Amino acid sequence: MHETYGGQVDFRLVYIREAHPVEGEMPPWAPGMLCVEDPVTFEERVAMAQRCTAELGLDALPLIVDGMDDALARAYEAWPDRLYLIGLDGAVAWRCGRGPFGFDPDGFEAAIQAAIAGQATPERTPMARAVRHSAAEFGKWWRSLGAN
Amino acid sequence: MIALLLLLQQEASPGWTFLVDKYDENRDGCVTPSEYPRSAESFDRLDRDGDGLLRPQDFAEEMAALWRDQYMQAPALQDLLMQNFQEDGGPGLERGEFLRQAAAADAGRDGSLNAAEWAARGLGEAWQQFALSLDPDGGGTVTLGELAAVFDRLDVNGDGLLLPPDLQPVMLPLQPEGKPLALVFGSFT
Repeated sequence: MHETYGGQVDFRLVYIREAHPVEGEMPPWAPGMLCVEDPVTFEERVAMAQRCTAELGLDALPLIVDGMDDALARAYEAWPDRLYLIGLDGAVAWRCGRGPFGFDPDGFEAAIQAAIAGQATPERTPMARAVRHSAAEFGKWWRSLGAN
Repeated sequence: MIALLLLLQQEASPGWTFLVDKYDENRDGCVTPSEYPRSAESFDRLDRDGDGLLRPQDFAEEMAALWRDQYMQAPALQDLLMQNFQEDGGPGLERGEFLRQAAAADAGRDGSLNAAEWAARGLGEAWQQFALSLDPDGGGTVTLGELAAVFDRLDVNGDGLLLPPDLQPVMLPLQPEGKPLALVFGSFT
């Protein structure tokens, strides 16, 4: 997508807190999964981001590394992964749901095409469709965010 | 599916394999605090059973695949709040608006909301589940104070107004410069 639309849209890869570090709530669980430790300093996070882009072949994408306060991930509700398109007015033109289940690269491309064509962007992926959890599980999730 | 889970349970956790290979200097099959050079906080996070050693059983809960899946499907809190507490269809949800709606739902005037009060307000099932999940003692009620704390936690700039991300350009730090801006958030894992 970057190769196709990079001349008309600015892409940024925003490296945020690891989704499945070995110390995390959801460490790697299956054989063959990548094992990394959660960076504990910004320098470690930058190094991990650079390793990530190098090993995944994403070097061409301009990289932004979120701070250790996870300010960007929190502002965009972006953890563990998410796609956003920001219009020229600075407003969110489109976003998908949070990954992995809400991750929607096809919708992302359609939104980019619409933005380039000057059309209204398609409706974003509705989060409501993902409401399939139980109350107890939601509580665990909420408390995992540090809430009382 | 069950066979797959049993197979996976018999295999060493990749997280544990990674740690023991990297830090178990004396190769005794566990990692002690003295062998682990990173922070005590990180050690404690890894030591899930709290016995002071890192051992394979600290990774036993990794098999909770169903929990993991459902964890990842939790909807955005702001979306739930906007759907269920907005009074006027305006651009955001004000703190006062939120608390008025919560208090109005408190038919029993006891400072908390129970399942019947949520249902009487016609609030969506998703919100009911969310609210009751905050109930710390399982008594089936959520206090208005707990709900206020939910709002304050989400209101990151403290201005008393929650705006859906779609409508909050001022709060979003990354801005376009002459072209639409495509943001790809993610990590290595």
